[in-house]
Amino acid sequence: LKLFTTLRDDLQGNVTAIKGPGGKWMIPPDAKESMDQSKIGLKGPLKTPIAAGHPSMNLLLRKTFDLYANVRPCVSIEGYKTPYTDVNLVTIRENTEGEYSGIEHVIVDGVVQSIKLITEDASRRIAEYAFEYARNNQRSSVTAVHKANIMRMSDGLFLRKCREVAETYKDIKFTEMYLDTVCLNMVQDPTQFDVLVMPNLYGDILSDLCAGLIGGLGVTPSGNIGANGVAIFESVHGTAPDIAGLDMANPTALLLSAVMMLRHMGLHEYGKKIETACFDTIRDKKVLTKDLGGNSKCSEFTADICRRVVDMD
Amino acid sequence: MTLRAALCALSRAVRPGGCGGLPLSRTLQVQLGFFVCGATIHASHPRQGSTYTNIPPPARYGGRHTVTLIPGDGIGPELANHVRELFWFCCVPVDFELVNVDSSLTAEDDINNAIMSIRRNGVALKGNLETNHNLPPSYKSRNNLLRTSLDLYANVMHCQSLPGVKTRHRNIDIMIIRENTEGEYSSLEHESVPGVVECLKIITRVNSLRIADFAFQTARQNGRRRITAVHKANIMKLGDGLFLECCKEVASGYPDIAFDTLIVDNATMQLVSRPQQFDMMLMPNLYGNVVSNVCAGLVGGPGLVPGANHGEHYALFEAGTRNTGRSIANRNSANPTAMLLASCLLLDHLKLPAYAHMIRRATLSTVTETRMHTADLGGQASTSDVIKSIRNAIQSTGPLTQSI
Repeated sequence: LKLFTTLRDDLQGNVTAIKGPGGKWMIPPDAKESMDQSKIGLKGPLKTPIAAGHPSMNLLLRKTFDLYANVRPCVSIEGYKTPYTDVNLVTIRENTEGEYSGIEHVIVDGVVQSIKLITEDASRRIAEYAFEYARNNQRSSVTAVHKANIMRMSDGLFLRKCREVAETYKDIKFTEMYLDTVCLNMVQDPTQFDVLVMPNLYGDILSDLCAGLIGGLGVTPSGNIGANGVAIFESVHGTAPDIAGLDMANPTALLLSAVMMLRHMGLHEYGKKIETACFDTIRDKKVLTKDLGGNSKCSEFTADICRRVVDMD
Repeated sequence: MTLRAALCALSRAVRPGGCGGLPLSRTLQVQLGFFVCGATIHASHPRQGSTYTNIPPPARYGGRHTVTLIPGDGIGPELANHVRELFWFCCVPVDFELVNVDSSLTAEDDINNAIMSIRRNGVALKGNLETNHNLPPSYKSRNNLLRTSLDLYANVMHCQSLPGVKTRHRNIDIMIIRENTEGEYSSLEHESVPGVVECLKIITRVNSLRIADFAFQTARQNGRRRITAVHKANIMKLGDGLFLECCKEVASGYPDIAFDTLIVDNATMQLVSRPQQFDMMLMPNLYGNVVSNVCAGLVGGPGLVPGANHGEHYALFEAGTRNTGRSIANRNSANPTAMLLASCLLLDHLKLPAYAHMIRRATLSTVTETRMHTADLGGQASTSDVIKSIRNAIQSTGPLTQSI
């Protein structure tokens, strides 16, 4: 199990885009091959330099492996105080289309049009994943978030697909709620939500909103599920170049993502152990990293977690 | 004697017995009305070319204003009644022209009547109209139709923490300016191939400049020091990029107001952790929807915050978060604060500050001092309890009120 801490240190994020024979940007073939073999990956933050000439690395990864679902479980961490306690929800966001299709054009000078794309297949796929996830993780309800009163056709299609899929999963309660109502209720009482499924833009905003509720991106895990059983788990915070290499970083986000990965692979007890150890360490407040309010180094933090895991065996 | 007073005297002379006497023929009334308006306009403010000065629509007869009232659905009708009764109680010189819009009909006659009425009166107060999103796309949202037909391009919502209302965050004071007509709400959608739907988000230079200018003017009028533009230009480079560019352009003309930008997901995260850092926020339509609802939730919920929609020629006031409240309709449990504060904004717009101040003070004191809270704020009072408390507060200050 200490493997995981060493695994974390190994992850460097030194994958850079290279130009393949077709002239399209892609990730190096050996990286792709190893992913195809193992199907599971753990990723730290990847930096995209501005004006690098190639598209964002995260986008490339997403396109290459067709990572269509972004899952972000948001659970309040005991010991890390925020104004919101008892948050326990999961946001599942469609990751390939919607408002982020990237199709934009200038119609005439001064008028710009961005296209939001919603397709039946993608909507059905994400709805199915959401209900599967709810079933596998003992979640009782799924809420579809939309704005179909204004975007009748697009969000209407998304909603219809969600309803159709809900028919086949009778054991899970299905509700639909407008985006603004969700936002309003979320900041007043987040305990009323369980699993939320939504198109790309709303998902982006809501998942970050929920991350803010539990304490920010430094403690939020995230997973991207792709077709063909591929899954990449990552921490969603930035690369923090100012503290890189100084043993000051907070590994919680990456560790919790690793826990998600273990759960995804079916290794539930390992996942539970690491998660409990991590939460215990934070709750004890003795060896916290700087952003959590303590003064310890990253290595001390992880050493404490490792010690607890060993003690548990 | 001023020209206006002379004309009023003339109209009174022609109608013996004053307001209760024989009515003039309708055409003559209208002509007199227009004459008064015309005289007022030429005598005082030139209307053409002014975009941001709040010129009230001309009063019709003897200083009384006519305002369109659209009750809406859900809790709308009961709250509209409360507003009307309270205005009558306080002898506010406002007459409401009631226009009912039946949102279940697919024909657009009702909403067109409402639009015509607002064009006539210049000002309106409304409840939310429900949109059944299971109807086909040809049935557009009535609320949206109102906003786009009347070109009410700016939505202003002021979220303030109120003492006495229990919330997780204190000392919030954020003014939100949201573009109200274009962006994602253009309702331009098509199904190119069965199963593939495209929805167009339109951003134009003209509208972005307009809303940015409105925001900076409002900031100056209200003593705001900083404006934060919320966007997603890292992903929607052209669309939100254009919006940002226009904001920056306008910002350069207002060196006394600080300007910064924030990506929408970061903005929501900051709002739930540290909302006190924001002063005024400016954004396109959809992000405005999200951020305004988050802020309303932070200060206590949809029952507390009023909203104003401003256009070049018209103004429309409503509850800020535009909820229908279908589940609590007709149960005497809705919170009337938002609607009453919206009516105070209406009175401010009509340049009747004394009445506005009176009603606002009474409403706020009921929430903060008397702590008469409805269910959404965690209390047990009913709507009528709250209204009664507000009436008592108004009566105790001493102005002449109608006997109940």
